[in-house]
Amino acid sequence: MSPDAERKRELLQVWLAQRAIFQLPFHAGGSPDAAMILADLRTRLPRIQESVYILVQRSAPTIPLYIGRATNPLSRWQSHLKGHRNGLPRYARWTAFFEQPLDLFVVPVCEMYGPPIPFFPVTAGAVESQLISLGQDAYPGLLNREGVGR
Amino acid sequence: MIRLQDWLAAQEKYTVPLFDTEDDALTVRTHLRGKNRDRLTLTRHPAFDTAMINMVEAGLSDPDWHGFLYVMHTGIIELLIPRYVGKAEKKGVKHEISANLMRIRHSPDKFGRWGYNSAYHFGELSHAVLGEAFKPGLPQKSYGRWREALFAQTSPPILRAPVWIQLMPWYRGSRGPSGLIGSVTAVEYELIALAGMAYQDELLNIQGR
Repeated sequence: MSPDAERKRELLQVWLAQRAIFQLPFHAGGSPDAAMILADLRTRLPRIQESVYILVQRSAPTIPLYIGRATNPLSRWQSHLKGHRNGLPRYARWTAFFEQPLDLFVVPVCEMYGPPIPFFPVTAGAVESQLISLGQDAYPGLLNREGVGR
Repeated sequence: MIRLQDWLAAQEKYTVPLFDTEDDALTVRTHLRGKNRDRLTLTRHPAFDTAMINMVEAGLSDPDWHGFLYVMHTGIIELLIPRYVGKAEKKGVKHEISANLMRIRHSPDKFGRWGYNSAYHFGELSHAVLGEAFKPGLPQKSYGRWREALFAQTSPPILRAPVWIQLMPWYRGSRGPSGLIGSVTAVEYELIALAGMAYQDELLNIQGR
């Protein structure tokens, strides 16, 4: 890995480590039980609010798998899990990751102090974009993919 | 705080008008496409076509070229307002060279994602602006937002302000606004982060705002 990619990995790890209090157990591994995951998430989220979320492998160091933002993270994860269960093409690569234990960072917008990339903005949208940007180069397995494969 | 305009000003790039217009620089010319020449379509500016072809053909002959970034904008230099940030990567998902870039001189319908076909920017925007004169059915919602943002009226199609595009070739070792070497995709997101914060109401990318 190039020194710049290493630096991006470090920036992402530091940002996540500073928000460890928002790391929730998400899935114990194996075939995902959507109802159980959602019920568990519902009890762990103190309140529903706009948040950036990062799905990670429960490993040390943490490996980010998917980054997103939602006004209602619970409802968004309902859609993700439904899409995965229904075999939508965009979720094809998720199956392998569900075999292992996963955690979910759910960082509320009101906790968006400090940008992941120095001197970048700290709005929710900007933070999400920076995390995806860092993840693209630091973690080639990141599940965020846009556009049509051509 | 890093300013998008400062970073853009320092880049190797082609800056050209996006639409072919009448002399008023606002009324967008249209033309007919499709097998039966029955699909009314907004027309790209010839300078845009030339810049895209030159950039992509030169890029494909350079092993260090990884694709390009683009920023569609209104206003120029200090008054530049980014409206959409995107990218086209050299490597395709299905092909070694992306179908978006292959034979670009002879591919007006794909054209580095700015093609006249459906699922490409000019095709989808033509559908949103010209409606059933382009093709039956409802246009994609996202291009409805482009229409509202860029066009004062649709019949004839008249822009609110001249629209420009910057095409930035991207090479192995190129650095994004973060100062770090980045892939085309990673730097696209850096640009979206900067543009989305400063131009929350104007930027048409959903991410970043």
